[in-house]
Amino acid sequence: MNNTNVLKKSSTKINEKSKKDKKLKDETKSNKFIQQIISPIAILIIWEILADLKLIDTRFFPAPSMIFHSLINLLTTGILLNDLSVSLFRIIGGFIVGAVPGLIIGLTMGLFPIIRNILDPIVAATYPIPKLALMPLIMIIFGLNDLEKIVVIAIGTFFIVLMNTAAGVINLDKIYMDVARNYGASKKDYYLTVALPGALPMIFTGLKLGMGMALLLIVAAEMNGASSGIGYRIWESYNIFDIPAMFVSFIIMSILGYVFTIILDLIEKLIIPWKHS
Amino acid sequence: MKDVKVELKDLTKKFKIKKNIITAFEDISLQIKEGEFWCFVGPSGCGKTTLLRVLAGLESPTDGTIYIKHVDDSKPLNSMVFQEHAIFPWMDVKNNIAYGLKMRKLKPNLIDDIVDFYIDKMGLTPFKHAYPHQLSGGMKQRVSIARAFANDPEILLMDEPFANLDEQNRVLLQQELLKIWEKSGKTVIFVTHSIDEAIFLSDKIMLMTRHPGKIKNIYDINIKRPRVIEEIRSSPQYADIFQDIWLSLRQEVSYS
Ligand SMILES: Nc1ncnc2c1ncn2[C@@H]1O[C@H](COP(=O)(O)OP(=O)(O)OP(=O)(O)O)[C@@H](O)[C@H]1O
Ligand SMILES: [Mg+2]
Repeated sequence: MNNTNVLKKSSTKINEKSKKDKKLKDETKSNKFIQQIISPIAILIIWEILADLKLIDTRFFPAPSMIFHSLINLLTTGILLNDLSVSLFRIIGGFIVGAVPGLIIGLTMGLFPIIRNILDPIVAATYPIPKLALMPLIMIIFGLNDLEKIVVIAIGTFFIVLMNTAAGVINLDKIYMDVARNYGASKKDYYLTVALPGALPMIFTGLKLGMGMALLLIVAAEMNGASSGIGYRIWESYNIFDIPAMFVSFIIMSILGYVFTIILDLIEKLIIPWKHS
Repeated sequence: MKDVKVELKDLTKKFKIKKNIITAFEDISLQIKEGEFWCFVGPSGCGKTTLLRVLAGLESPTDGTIYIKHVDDSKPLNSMVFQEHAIFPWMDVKNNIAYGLKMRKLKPNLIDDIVDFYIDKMGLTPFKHAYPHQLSGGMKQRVSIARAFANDPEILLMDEPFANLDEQNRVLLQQELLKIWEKSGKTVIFVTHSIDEAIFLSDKIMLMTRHPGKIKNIYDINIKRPRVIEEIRSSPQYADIFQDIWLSLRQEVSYS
């Protein structure tokens, strides 16, 4: 009787304490938010003032209000959403077409030294070629269409994912292989219970870098032979000297990168709950 | 007369690093009988871990022969408690302990029962679903011990398994180990730096010389069982053996 009472008391105490902790956390969180939002807002305000006073060249740096105006315009005409869906298709398509084989070949190279030895020279020879340098060749082979753009992005993603996945398997602490052997794991068991989960953190690093690469390459890929897309819009704004529209595209690219990072982080948290944060 | 479980003849292991040859241990010859409890004691770097790894089949010896008798095919021959714990960061406590059983494809509910039993024994019940990064060093060590116990091998190879534990937990686990050993009739080979621990646990202690390790002496510990730590520490027999091993070990360490 007495005992449970004491227990209850102490547990309410703990509750109160955790409530206090939570409050503390919320406060620091909102503080942090305020601190972090100060500098972007300040820059926007100063930028607007400088533009209004003609202290900066608004041909190159249009005022935020002008950019906002252009954004509304692109939105209401439906151009922006169309650009976005076209580019998303190419980015995600290229990302998947590149990342999946990159992951599979990377894992295979990490797991089987023979395959690693055979493929290493090819990878080492082709990896350093800047992906942009390959673009004209890809354009000749595939023509100027969606497929060609997907291939450009896929090649960039492929190598990054492959390198990181292979490194993830190879750099796994050898002791885990000893444990697997000592506890009777077959080769297949080893791959599934040790190599693959052990390489996951590096695989995700590869996927994140691959996504960054995809965003970089979409702009280049949409420079030629495109009639829509975020990257195309940037080049088109250049041609018709519509700088505010160009800035709108920058913002969209930045948001895209941010959203992709958040999505990959979320998936990573779900798949790798054991990773220290 | 008990059967011979492990027999080593002139066992030697050398590593080749670039052009240097490092001898981990040499000319180890000994006979371990079925169900005996052995401790290997020796200065750091004398080759204890390497010897265990050779016994576990994770390294092959450079010279000499090993004979190990595998009696029951339904049981694994040996399971090792690694010095580095080496529990998998991507598995929770339960799955880490179940690892050997899963690899042997035992029935899931049988695995659950065995795992729960050892989780309880090791005092890990509240952490059943925790991941290693959420555990303290001593808890990780207990997980790796439970993994080996749960696997129910004929030979338990334990590499300084209690090194990271506080005195209280150490004594508890030492007693638990002795209980399991007495009940199961397993052969245990146990590496430790603690002379006290070695005397309390073993039938035989192999003392090794400093690097490269050879057998310096093999001690018979004829203290009757079941053993109680308090009684043993205050017995004159304990004091004699302790003194013997201590002086011998000190001699090895002060050479270097
Ligand atoms: N894989 C390896 N490659 C090369 N040398 C090794 C390897 N493993 C161990 N050695 C060497 O063999 C010797 C014995 O090492 P080992 O780890 O067996 O010592 P130990 O007795 O377990 O030491 P400790 O008590 O510190 O754990 C050391 O000199 C070590 O450098
Ligand atoms: Mg060691």
